[in-house]
Amino acid sequence: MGLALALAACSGGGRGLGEHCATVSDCDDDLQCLDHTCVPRCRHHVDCGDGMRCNDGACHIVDSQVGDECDSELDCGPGQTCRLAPALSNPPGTCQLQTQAGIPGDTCIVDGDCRSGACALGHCVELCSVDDDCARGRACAGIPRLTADATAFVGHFEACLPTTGSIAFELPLDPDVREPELKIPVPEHALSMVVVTEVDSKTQLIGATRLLSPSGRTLYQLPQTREDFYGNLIRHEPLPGASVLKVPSSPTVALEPGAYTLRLSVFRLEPGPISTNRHVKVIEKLGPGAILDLHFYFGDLTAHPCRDQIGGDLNATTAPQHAGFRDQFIVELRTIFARANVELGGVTFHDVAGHPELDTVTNDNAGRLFALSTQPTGVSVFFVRSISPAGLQILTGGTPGAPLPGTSASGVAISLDALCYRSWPHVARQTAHAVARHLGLFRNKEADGGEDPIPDSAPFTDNLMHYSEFGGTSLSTGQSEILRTSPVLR
Amino acid sequence: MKLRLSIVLLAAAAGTTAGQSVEVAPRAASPAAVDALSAIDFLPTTATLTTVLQGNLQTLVDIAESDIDPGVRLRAYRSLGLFDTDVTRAALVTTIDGYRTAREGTELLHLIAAVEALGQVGRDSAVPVLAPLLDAESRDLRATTARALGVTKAGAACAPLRARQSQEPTGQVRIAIDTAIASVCP
Repeated sequence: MGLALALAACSGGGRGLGEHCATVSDCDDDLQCLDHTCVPRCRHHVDCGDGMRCNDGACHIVDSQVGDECDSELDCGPGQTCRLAPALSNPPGTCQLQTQAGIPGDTCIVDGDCRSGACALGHCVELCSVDDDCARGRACAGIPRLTADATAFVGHFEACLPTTGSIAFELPLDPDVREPELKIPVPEHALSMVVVTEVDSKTQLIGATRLLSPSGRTLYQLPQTREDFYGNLIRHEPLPGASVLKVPSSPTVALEPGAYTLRLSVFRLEPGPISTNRHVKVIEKLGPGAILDLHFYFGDLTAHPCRDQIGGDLNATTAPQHAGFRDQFIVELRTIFARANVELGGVTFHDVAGHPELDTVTNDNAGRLFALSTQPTGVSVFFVRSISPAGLQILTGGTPGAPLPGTSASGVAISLDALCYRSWPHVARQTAHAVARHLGLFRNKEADGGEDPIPDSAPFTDNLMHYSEFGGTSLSTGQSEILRTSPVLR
Repeated sequence: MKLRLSIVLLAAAAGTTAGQSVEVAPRAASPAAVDALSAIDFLPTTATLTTVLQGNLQTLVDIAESDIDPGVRLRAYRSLGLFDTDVTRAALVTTIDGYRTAREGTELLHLIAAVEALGQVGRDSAVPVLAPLLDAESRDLRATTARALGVTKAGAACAPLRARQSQEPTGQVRIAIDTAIASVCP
C-alpha cells in the first residue's frame, strides 16, 4: 500500500484543481499544492501573494526576520515589507512589519505615506533588484533619490515602475525662496519629461531660467537674445500664468536618467508683489504608447457667420453625427497623425456652456478657456466662434502644452471662421498643427527666420509645422520621433 | 506697378483638400508679403510688414482689396490696423462702408477684420463709422464693434455704447460693451 502511494505521487498525484493535498506530488503536473489545496502552478511571484516567491512553478514562503537587510520586496516574508532606509545604503532596505500606509501606485508626498517607505515620483513604489521582482506591467528601474525638499540628489535606488503610460508628480516649493533650484528625478526607461510651471497670476511670467542635465550639461539658459533662444538645446520661454518645458525636444538631445536641475523664476508684467503661489508639476512618459485621445469642446457656435458653410450649428451633440466633422475632419486628422505612427484613440465631445466672455478668444483670455479642460488624457481642442486678431485660425497654450487638464496651457483653440472659406480637411490640418505644437513640435520655420531644433525637418511649406495656412502635412522622421515622446500619448 | 495687377490668382484652390499639401498657396508678385500674411496663429509685426512691403502701405491695402486668397485678405485688413496713417484709415473706412450690410460668410469676416483694425488706429474719427454697427444683425460684429470702440479710447464712443448696453440681448456682446464702457466712459 505504501509503495502504491509513493508511485502515485511520483507520477503526478492526479488530484485536480481545488482538491486537498499534502504535498505537490499529490496534484496533477500542472498544479502545485498550496495551503493544502491543489492550485495552478505559478508563473510569476505575484501569483503567490505576499511574502512568497515563485520558483520552478511552485510558491515558497520567504523566511525573513524583521530587521533583515533586503534588496527587494521579495526578500521579505509574509506580513513584512522591504522598507527603504532613510539614508541610502547597500542593500537599500530592511524587512519591516507592514503598515496601513500606501501600497504601490498610491500617490504620496513623503516616504512615510508608503508601506515600503519609498515615495518616488509622487507614488509609492516597491523595492526590487531585477525586473522579475516586479508585478506584470512593471519593470525594475533605477530611480534618483532626492531630499524631501527636492533640492539635492542623494543617490539611486531601484524600484518597480510601470512600463506603460506616464507618471505625474508635483515638486515641493518653499514659498520663501524666490528663485528655487529644484532637482527633477528621471528614472531609467523614461522616454520624456515635461515640466509644467504655474503661478496664480496672469500678469506674471513663470518658467525655467536654467536647466541642467544629470551629467551637468546646460540644456537651457534664459535667453537674452534671439541667438540665445535658438541656441538653447531645449527651447522654452516663461509665459503668463503657466509655461511648459519638454525634454527631449530634438532627437539630438536625449533624455538622461538621473536628477535634472531646474531653476525657476517668476517675472512681473505689472508692478506689484511677486506671487509665491507657484506649482511645478512633472509628467514623465514611461512607455512607448502612441495613442492620441482628442477631447472636443464646443463654445456657443449658434448663428455663426459661417453657419451655412459649416452645415448647421456645431455642438457636442451634433458633431459626432456631422458629416463634415466626422467624415472629413476626423478622417483627415487620423490620416495626418498616422504618418507619424500616432494612432487616434478615444474621442469625446463636450459643450462649454455659460462662458460668453470666451466666444471670442484672444491671447489674453485663451488661458481661461484652456483651464476649463477636464480630461486627464489626450489633448483638449476647443472650437470657438472666432479668434482675435481677426484672421487667426488657431491658438495654442504654448509649445509644448501642458499634458494635464485645468491649466492655462491645457489645450488648443480652433476658430470656425476659417470654414467660411476653407474646407473641413483644411481645418483638420490647422488643428493637427495646433495639436502637434501641444505635443512639443515647434514650427519648422518661425516668422523671424528661426527653425525648429530638429535637424532633419527642412523649413519648407509642405511641412505640418509650417506656420502658413498653405502649409502641408508632412513630418520628418525626427519630428515624428519627438511627437511620439509626448506623455500626452498613451 | 501695383501688386494687385500682378497677383496670380490661385485662390480658387481654397476649399480643396488632402495630400501632402492641403491647399495650394497663392503665388503673388510679392510672395514675401503674402507669406507674411499667411500665418495661422499670428499677425506679422509692423517691422516685418514694413520690410516686405518696402514701406509702401498701399501694397497692403491692395492685397486686402484684391481677390487673392480670402484668408490672406482677412489678415491684410486686420494688419492695416498696425499702421496709424491716413492711407490705412481711409482704406478701412471704405471697406467698412462697402461691407456694412454683410450678414454672413467671408464678407462679414472681412468687415469684422476692418472694424477691429479701425479701432486700433481710428481714435475719435472712428466713432461715427463704427457706432452704427452696434446695431448690426450679427452678434459677432456687434461684439467686435464694441471692443473696437473701447480700443479707440474716444469719449464720443461712450454714448452709443451706453445706448446699446440697455437693449443688447446677447451675453457675448454685453460683456464686450461693459468692457468698452469701462475703457472709454468717464
